[in-house]
Amino acid sequence: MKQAHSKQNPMVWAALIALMLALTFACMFGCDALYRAVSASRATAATAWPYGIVATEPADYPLENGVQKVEKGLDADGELAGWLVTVSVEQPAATTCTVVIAPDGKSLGGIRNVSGSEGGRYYNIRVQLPYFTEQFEGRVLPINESQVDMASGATGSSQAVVALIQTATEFVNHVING
Amino acid sequence: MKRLLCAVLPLLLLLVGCQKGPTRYSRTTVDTFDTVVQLIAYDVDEQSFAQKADSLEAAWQEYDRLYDIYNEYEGLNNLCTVNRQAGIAPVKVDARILDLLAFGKEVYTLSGGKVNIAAGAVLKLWHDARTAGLASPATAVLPDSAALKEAAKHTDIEDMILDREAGTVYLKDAAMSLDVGAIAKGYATEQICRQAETLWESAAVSAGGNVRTIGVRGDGSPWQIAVENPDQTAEQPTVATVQLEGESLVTSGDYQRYYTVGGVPYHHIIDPVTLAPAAYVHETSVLCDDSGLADALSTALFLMPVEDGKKLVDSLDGVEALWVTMDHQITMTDGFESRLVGNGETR
Repeated sequence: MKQAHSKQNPMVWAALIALMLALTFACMFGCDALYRAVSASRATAATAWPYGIVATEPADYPLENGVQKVEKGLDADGELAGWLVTVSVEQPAATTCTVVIAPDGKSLGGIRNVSGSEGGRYYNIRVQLPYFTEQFEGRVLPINESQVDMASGATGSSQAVVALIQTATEFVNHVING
Repeated sequence: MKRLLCAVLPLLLLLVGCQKGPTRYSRTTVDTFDTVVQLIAYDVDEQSFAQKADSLEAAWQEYDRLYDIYNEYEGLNNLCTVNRQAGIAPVKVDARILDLLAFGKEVYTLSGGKVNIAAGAVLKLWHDARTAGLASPATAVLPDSAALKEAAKHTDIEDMILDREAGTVYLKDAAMSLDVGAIAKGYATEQICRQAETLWESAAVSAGGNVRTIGVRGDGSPWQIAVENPDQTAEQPTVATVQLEGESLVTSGDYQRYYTVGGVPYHHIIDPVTLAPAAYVHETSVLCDDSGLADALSTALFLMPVEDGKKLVDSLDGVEALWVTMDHQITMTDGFESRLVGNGETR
């Protein structure tokens, strides 16, 4: 039985080698393609609005506490699906973003269009990366305290964004929903 | 009477039960110790929090002025005054300066000379080169090596004479100067938090990443403090998150204050042996009760190989540490590991 195994057909060996080569190429080029595809989908996800929002329209409210703009987010039926509140803070690092909040002000759809105009070396890039923005999606408001309180060696980026979210939440709950 | 008690007692219990617990408040300031100072505290109302935070802020500013080595202030002898009077005359100073400098001597001994507050002459050359390099990156240069070697001759901490009775400091060597950057922020944070312990049962302070906690959170759970990833392009922004209950966590890294010469970054933590930025690790974090000690030790560990650092930490009670090595591997003491919020985050 063992002898029979050692005398396998050369065609089998050729097929095995071809398979290994195919797998190697798949790993080399497939990973890159996969990475590109994931990056593209993330980029799309980052610009798409949550809550099924497909259109926006301006909302007329008195702006305060760093709130720059308020818009209604409308779903495919034209119904209010969320509030888009664009907020700026100066401290701990100057940052602006659009915070998407559910109509009842009780949950966070996500943050979009984040931009930092100052801060550490990577601050402006970092706050736009999916790993950073995705951590806020779907969170119950207000941001509860089970999260990290502070960071040792921190640049203050997460604190800035949490401050933006809190400002936007207060705006929706107090100014819009009264 | 019993009926009355039966009716009133539940109501009283209900009222007590419904009393609002302390609320979490926070404040961030940027004008002290050239960094961002964050304060979180649980208090009965915003006004109470604001009053206490104001008093601490005022205390911060006092420490900031006292330990300032770059500017003098009218009517105040600070470390800048001490440096300017080097080789000339003793300077009468506030007890808080004497306390800091005495602590600096202790730290020098503890760290085997790695953390030397008398190394101002060397650090000034790097500081000036970095400041000029940041202002004009195209013309950024390294400090002159001959000048560094000459400056290193004027860093003997024994030439710093503290006279407790007279309340004076005297730098015997006219060419020496003090630089307390490795200890002042942590030391001041510790003193401020000892003051804050009389105001709040539950608070946390971060002075540019020097974190000191008081008690636990308002809900009774430990504070959760993250250690930032020195590789700021990495997917994971932190390398660990630890639970603190009244302790301190301080981190030193090569990614915060630096400048670039010819495309090479040069950070601000200078090795007293090579007179150049230390290149043993990317980051060190120290967890212990005292924020001043944590600050000094995180710098000391940054200035030595990991194995030497582990020996130093093992020799000290109540001190735990984490290192991020030059190849971005994370290593930590068992005690540090036991304090992690989630091991999965780091491994």
